[in-house]
Amino acid sequence: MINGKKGLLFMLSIALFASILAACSGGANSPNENASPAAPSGGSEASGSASEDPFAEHMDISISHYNIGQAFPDRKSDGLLKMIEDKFNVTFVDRVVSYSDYVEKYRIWSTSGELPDVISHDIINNSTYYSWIEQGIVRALPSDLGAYPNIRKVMELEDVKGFQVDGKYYMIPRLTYNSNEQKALERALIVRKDWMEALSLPEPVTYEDYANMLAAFAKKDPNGNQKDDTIGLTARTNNMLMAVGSGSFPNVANSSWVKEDGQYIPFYASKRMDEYVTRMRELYTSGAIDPDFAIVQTNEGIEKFGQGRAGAIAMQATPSGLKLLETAWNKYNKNAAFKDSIRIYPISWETDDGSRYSFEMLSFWSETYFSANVSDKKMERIMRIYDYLLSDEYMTTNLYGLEGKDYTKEGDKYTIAREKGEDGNYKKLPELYPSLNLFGSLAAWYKWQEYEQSEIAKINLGEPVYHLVQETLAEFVKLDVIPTNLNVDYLYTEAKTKLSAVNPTEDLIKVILGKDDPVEMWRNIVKGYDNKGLQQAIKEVNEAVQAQGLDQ
Amino acid sequence: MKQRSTVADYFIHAFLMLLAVISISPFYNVIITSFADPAAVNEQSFYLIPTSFDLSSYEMLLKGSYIGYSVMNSLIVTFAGTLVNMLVTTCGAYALSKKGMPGRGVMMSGIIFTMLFSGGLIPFYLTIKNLHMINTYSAMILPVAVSTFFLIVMISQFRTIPRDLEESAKIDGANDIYILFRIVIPIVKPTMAAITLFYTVARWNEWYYAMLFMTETKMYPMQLFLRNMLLDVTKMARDDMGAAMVAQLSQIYPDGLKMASVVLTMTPIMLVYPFLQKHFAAGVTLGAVKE
Amino acid sequence: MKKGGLLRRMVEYKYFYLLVAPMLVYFIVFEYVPLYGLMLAFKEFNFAKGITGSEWIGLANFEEIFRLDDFWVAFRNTVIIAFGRLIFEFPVPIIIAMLLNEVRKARMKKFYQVVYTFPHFLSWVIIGGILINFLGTFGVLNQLLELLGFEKVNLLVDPDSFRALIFGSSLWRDMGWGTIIYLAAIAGINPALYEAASIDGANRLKQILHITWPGIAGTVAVLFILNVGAMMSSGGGGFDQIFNLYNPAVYEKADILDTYVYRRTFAVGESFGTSTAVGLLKSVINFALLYTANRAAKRLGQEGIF
Repeated sequence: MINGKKGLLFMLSIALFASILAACSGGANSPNENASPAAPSGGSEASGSASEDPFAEHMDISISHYNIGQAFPDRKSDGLLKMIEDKFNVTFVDRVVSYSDYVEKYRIWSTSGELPDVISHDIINNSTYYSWIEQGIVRALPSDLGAYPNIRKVMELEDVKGFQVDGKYYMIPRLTYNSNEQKALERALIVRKDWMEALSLPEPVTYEDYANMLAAFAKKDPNGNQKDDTIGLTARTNNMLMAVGSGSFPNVANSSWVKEDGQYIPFYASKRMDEYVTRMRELYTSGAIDPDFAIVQTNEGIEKFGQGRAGAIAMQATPSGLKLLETAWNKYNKNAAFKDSIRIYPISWETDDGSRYSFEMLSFWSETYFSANVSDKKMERIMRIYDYLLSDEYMTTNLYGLEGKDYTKEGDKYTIAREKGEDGNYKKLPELYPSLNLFGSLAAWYKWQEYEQSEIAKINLGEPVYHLVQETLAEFVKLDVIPTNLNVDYLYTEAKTKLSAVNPTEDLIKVILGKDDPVEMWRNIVKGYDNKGLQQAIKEVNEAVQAQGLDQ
Repeated sequence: MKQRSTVADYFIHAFLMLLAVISISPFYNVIITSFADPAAVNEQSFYLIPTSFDLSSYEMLLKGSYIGYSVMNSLIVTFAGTLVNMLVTTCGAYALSKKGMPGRGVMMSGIIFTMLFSGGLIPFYLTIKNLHMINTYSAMILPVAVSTFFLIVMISQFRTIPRDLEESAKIDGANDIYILFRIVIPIVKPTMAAITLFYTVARWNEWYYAMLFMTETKMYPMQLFLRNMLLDVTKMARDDMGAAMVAQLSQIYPDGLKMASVVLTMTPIMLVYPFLQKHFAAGVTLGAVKE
Repeated sequence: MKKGGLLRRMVEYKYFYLLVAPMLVYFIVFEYVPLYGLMLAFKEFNFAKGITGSEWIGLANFEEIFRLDDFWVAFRNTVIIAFGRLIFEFPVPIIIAMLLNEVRKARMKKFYQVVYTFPHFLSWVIIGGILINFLGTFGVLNQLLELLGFEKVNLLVDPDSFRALIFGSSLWRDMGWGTIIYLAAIAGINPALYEAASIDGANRLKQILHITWPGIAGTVAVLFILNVGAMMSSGGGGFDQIFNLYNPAVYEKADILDTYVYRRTFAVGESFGTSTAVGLLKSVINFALLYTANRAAKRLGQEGIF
């Protein structure tokens, strides 16, 4: 026993000793000492003169991007990769991250000074964004973007301007949409038309319509098999499920801040939540909402809908979203065509004043950051590459492939000459050029290409989904947009960041499943948020709104 | 004298059989689902009778250039890793089981201290980085060379060996190392076999360190490879993803994929079992005198 | 005099030092050197300055998390679930191992041994799915209940039944795996003792109590102490399980420290200081528990681990 105690003391002192040793040795443990943005490196010979070839010096550029691991299986056979690398005289070095581990990897790399030159991350509303900038982990874009017109166009968008820090930009947003109209399809309710007809249900407009329809799907045996095996409403994620009640309070759908009684507050603190929680509870107790919604995993709702067990699903009616749903449908339904079996409605009912809403959000998701270790010269090269990737020239390549090989162009007409697969369809471009897994989403998501009314869009989406998208878009653009002040949503104050610990979706789940009066439950929950700094955050936000003139 | 079966025997058997059924039953479903066509599964409320045979879940997991590498990586790490584990742990445990060794108390306390306290991920990662082990097999073998848990179990087993045994061997001229390998280990063979199994499974299932330290997909062990595939492909709820992802996502049958990955990871371990099993139930060797 | 004695003993044990050397190197390099990271619990991490250069802020990290109600809920749950595991889960593999030992046919025994370990190989992701199939609204249990005329239940979102679910599923998965080490210990018992006992007329129960049990008591004690010393760390493999099985409806009873920290980091952003602080807190409590369990075992006549 004495041995043990002495041993412990001894070991504790070793630990102390080790840490002092570590502190003295500095180098290995303060890896980001050279993390100052103004550290130029690189060859002196090729420096400067603009009249020479700007791409004379070969550069290695390290990148981490979502699922880059699939981009370079065989570098030599990828014509697109070769084209871009030759064009800019670079070699792209992949530092593999995937959706399931990128957060951990960036966390480690940022602390050990190993961030790749270019990384894709989504921390725009996070304290990490500001820590990285303040502590010199990432570098700013060049202040003069004159040489990069396409990048400049992106940085001058309304919802990008607010993200400057000290007058500089530290990231390039990865654009999803280039027009506000397209955002409308981000939330929709996709319903089984055949079930509606079987039960003689009217097109849903009011709350009662929605409630009756969804409950009927669950209770009235719409598939006529005498079994109690159907559910009303399912969703791709619980967040999207919550949007179904947004007819009572639109801002729930995009979790935005609202102006109430002269000051901005988060949506969950609003009086309008009363009606919202009451109705959501009703939808649950009447059986309209899937009784298992709280335990269903992400994307499972899509399978359920495809399997014919759900009458309606809340998710995106975007081209990709519909394509996913269609494929799930085709897995289980060999006899009924997807397009003929469904109808797409606005995700929620009409509000009291007769408005119906479509979605509003930032036009981008995730950003590109540049490690502070990147020299000005390298930054220039990277900017050129991004500018190219955002150019019309590349967007054509992204859609059609390489000219001469995959398509020919005469005037305005494109003729597709791509290789065909064994099933007689054109091979998908990422199959021919795996590097598209990188370039096809590096500078932007290029989602707007899916909305083009063109032959290529028809080929990529298939006729049914193509037409569904165009028809639904035409309807949804007539709806009102959720009144959102994005500048306030993405404002940075210390208390507001701490407030992100609040998870209203999780608390809503509790209220919906609960047995007590929902309004009272919700009010108590919001009172509990004071403990997490709600009042302080509201105060800080409103002060900043005043100071920066962000009121709309 | 052979004992007759008693009532107690029947009860025991019934109970154990029940446990066996409970343990196995979900696997029936796991295996048939891994080979199933989604539409067929959907037709029955519980997929009990396999009405389809579909290898697409396995195809999805096994195609691509990286699966071969990942299996090889797993095999290398498991073999080399378990070897290192058992060698280092056994030698260390034997030494620490000797109460007379000067400094033993200090070492034991120190080791237990590290079992409880950890400096966190950042210093650990920096250590590995400074040792230039990033993206090497060593990164999956050396930092996990000893499990304190198993070490302590082994120490307590070594303590049960009577001293007379070792002393008589010493008199015959054997040194301590010989004693360890030729005399002591055979006596505690069941525990050795058990811990070997534990380490083997631990190395085979390892993915976290691989995720942190491997920078190329070529170096991923099978568990990490499968885990990424499963998560990447089933968890994406955002619309913003590359076209290739969408194409991938739409081809899979999530349940089938999950089940197939279970079958793939379990099978190799099941093959190791028979070799280790004969050591578990082995009785004590002759000549040992134990209290 | 003393010094001479020490040196002489060290020489006597020279082979042992050789044997223990690789292990010591491992511990120093991979476990001791990184310990300086514990400092972070008292610092505010700065990416550029690293752990050693970051600013000291005393107990501020601790104060920040102690303020939050959710932290205490998670803390309480961690303790309750850990104790629950000790009471409900710990004894089961021991009992099963002893029962298995009573099986006479070697082939049946081997069969059981192997089969019981199967569930251990299913990851919690899969088991979560299986549980939903069983306990969901359209699952087996509810179909059975309906057939018998009862109302459907939704056990997975009921906070009151959730902990039982945790213990039950944990048992299902690991009770077989846990028997391995006890079976190995039993295999080390001298069969001559059993023969001698039955000649003396002892029945099977007496043999179990006076031969089998004392034979494995040492192993049980060691495993008990080790389990207690890991209690605050997700109560032994808890994070994976709870993370894959829980949902917001059961947070108040199921959220443990590890899952709480995970969600918080995800939502608010990196906070290395507070995560390290929580880790340090868990370690200190584990240490106190380990020490207590060790002393208790010694009082009961067993050998502790130190």
